[in-house]
Amino acid sequence: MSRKATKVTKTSSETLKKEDVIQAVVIVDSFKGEFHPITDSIPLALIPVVNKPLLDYTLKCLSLSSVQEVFLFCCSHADLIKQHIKQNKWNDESSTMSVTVFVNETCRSLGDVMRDLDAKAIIRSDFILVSGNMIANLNLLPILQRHKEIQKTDKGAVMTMVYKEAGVGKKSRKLEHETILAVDSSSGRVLAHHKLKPRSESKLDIPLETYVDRPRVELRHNLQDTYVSICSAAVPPLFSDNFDFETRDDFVRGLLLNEEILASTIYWYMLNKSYYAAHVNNWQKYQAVSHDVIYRWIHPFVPDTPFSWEKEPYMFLRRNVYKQHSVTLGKGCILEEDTVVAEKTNIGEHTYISGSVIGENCSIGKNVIICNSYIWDNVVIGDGCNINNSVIAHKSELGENVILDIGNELKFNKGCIIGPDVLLPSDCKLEASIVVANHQLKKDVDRDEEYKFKKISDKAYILEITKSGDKSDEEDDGQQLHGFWLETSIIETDSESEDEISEGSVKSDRLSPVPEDTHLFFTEVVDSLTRGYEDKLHPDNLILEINSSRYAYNVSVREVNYFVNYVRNSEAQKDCLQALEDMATSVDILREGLIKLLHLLYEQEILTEDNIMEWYKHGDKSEMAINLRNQVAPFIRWLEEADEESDSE
Amino acid sequence: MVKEFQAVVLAAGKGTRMTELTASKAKCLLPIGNKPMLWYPLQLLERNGIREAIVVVMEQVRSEVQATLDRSGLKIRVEYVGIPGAEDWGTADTLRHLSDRIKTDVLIVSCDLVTDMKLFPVFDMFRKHSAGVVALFFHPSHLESTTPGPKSKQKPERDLVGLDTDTSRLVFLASVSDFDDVVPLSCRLLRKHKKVSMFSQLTDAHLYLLKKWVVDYLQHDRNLSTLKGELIPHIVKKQTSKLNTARRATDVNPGNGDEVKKDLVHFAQEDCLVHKIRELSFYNDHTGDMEPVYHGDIVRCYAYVAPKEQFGVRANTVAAYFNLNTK
Repeated sequence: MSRKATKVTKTSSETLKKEDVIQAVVIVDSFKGEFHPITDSIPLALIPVVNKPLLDYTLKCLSLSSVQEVFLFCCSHADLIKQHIKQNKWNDESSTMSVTVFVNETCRSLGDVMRDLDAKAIIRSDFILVSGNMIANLNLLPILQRHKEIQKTDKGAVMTMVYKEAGVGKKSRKLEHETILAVDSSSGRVLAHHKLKPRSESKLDIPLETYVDRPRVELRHNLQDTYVSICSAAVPPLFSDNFDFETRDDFVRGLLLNEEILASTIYWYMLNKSYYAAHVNNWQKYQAVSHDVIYRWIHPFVPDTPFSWEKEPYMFLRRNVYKQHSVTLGKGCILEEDTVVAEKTNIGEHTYISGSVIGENCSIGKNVIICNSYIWDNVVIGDGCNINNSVIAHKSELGENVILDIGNELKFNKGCIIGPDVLLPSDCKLEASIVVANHQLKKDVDRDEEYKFKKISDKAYILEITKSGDKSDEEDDGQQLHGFWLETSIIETDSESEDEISEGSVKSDRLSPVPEDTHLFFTEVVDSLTRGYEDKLHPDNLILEINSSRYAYNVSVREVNYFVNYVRNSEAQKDCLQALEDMATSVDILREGLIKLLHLLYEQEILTEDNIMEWYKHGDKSEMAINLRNQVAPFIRWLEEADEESDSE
Repeated sequence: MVKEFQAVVLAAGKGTRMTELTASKAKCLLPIGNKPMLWYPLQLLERNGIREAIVVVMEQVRSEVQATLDRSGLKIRVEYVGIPGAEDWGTADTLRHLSDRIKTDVLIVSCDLVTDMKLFPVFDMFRKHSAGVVALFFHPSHLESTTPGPKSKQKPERDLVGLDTDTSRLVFLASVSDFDDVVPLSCRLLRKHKKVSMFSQLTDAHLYLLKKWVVDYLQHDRNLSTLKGELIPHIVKKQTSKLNTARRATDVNPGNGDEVKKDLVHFAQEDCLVHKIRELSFYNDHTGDMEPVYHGDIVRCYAYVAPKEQFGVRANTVAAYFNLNTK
């Protein structure tokens, strides 16, 4: 009997080998400040989505995937997070995973965190890297398995990124940057990773080598990044070696560019369609993900399954309304649809609520209309308020008859974001996309933005952000502190200039069946001319350039007749005039200036009168040409008179 | 019975990639196995139910070809058309020359294609999507043996073929030698076709099923002189152009003076009734976005990639020819 006992203990100790412990690293900050200034008082991970803090979703998902050790990296409000973890007993004996919180105030990006991680040397093997604002119901174990398998075949496999297939129309994807991923179909290796700016960039260049040796390369545009990755133990040292890796995308791009040097490869994993993973990093995403939670896409994370048994369960009523027992509803109150109301909240009489989430302990007055809004805990809303597309954070108070964002229904319904602890006076009307903060916030030097505060009353200031100097196209519209966009316009997939390029090239192909060389020659000469014009070069230098190009491209002198300096004989002049006419029919500005141009050329004795007269008389019969002739008529008349004068002399 | 399409076999090639062999004999008459090369595509057509074909040969060898084929026992009815060998006509030029004989859609086969594949998947794809062009591709077959004669300095020409993974539309076709370093891809194409598979090792069978409007377009645009090199890539590129939508009755403005500048898309216009039917039908060939079926394109190019086991080789280089003979 004792032998059996020892055998049992031996096997159990073997299974508890150190390397098998699954570790996860959660980055609690997003370092980008989209939820500013709410994030001044609450850390990002504790922002409630449908009344549960984001961090809880993340930790729950990890524990469902049997993760055993979690390392939380915080950079701000660490004490609040620690308190939260203690409160919710994540670190208790009874929970299956151990949560360790690391604090580092100086970290400014993911890269810094990874470097810190490397310094601490707590990672032993592959780990799961997620961010604290992830809401997902995916099972990470099969992904981890696959990563390990890939590592057996390819020693340099460093990271497996998880992507979800999402078509262009999907809401939560429209709000991210479009990514194009080029992967090898057989091995799943990522070959190229490009982020597209919406509506721009007509061509994407992919090096030829990626195609040549591989029988099949897939280019995918329909993917949404979940920001979940399985990293091997080699990742933190890679971050330490390359100090310019700040974000995960930098890392990916750096690895792809410097493949030979770093000898590391990245693979991808496509998430099964039945799983959901999203990353709440701005307000629009917040809205989209809340919507998905209410619609039960993220089962088992639905409002009516509690995370802890101490909280009251929600009732799931028809039309997607979730309500806890201790909610008191006044007479005539209507909870229309897609609404979540948490415990101990009082809702006054004749109040209409639709598409909103209301936190616990709120007190909502009579005749209030709340649509598409998110109201957090301990909020007091006075009677007769009208709240649309807004977020009202903890402990705020709204006076009576406050109207938030009437706005027009059609396009962007940009909402209001009201920070925690704000007291809005009665009869206050707020327009779209204004963020109200509690107190005058100090200028945050790091963020390069300036705040202007307009005082509404004590404890309520409207925040206006003036753009800083170097904001480039990097800053998307969504990055700014706007409210919600309920209806974003469909992203036009083609820009004007792109069409002109493609049509222009087609036209030029058809108009002038010149051999390729001449075409190249023309473009080069046009380039040097425009450059010369801008830099105000001496025309002689330009002539030299054109001459050399001419020889380089083996172009006959005839072709060059289009340029003024080369016009010597009458044949050439005819060509020149014809060219001017052709150009004038297509370019409006030139038409007006044509008369002046002809005059100038005549003065400079480049075009003789005879040729001009001949051109005028023998022109095309088409409408355009006749118009042109009419415009040039005064000049011609002047010429004839001048002719007569010189003849008469 | 109305004929669905006509078959054209291009046998007037000079065999520029195998000059050592074609110096004495015309390329289409070189023997593979114990039959002349031209026998194989004709037999392919016959096996797939095609009863007559137009064979284009060089004028000088016309009688010789006729005699050889009469002896070989093919039942298919052949109409011989000769083209002058002195001028350097490309495949598209030849097709233009034939355009008055061509009354329907046309199946173009090159004389050096050797395969035993059944062509009905290609035909079905053509009929199902009313495609402008359907091209056939084979996976590389594993013929490995050393070629006699001097080692050719030419690397095998390879094509980069881009297909939309789900719908089999041909969205990108170019030769590897066109690019030095990077392959530029239009973002518009990627946004439209979300999943594009790029193949770099497929063999183009030079078997194209073209609609009649392509031939009409060839008449109009006299600059295109080869099918594979110019016409087909041109049509493939046109798929992503903005003009590639159905023309409504209100759009037509004939008095624009635009007679000369007709675009490919004008030739491909389909009947209004066809468009109405398509609009009302629930069929959509792709998922993931709210675009109408085929993204509203009227110029559609498809590619059929034969299954891996299928044998298909083009005998247009010395190496391929030799390998075929040894097999």
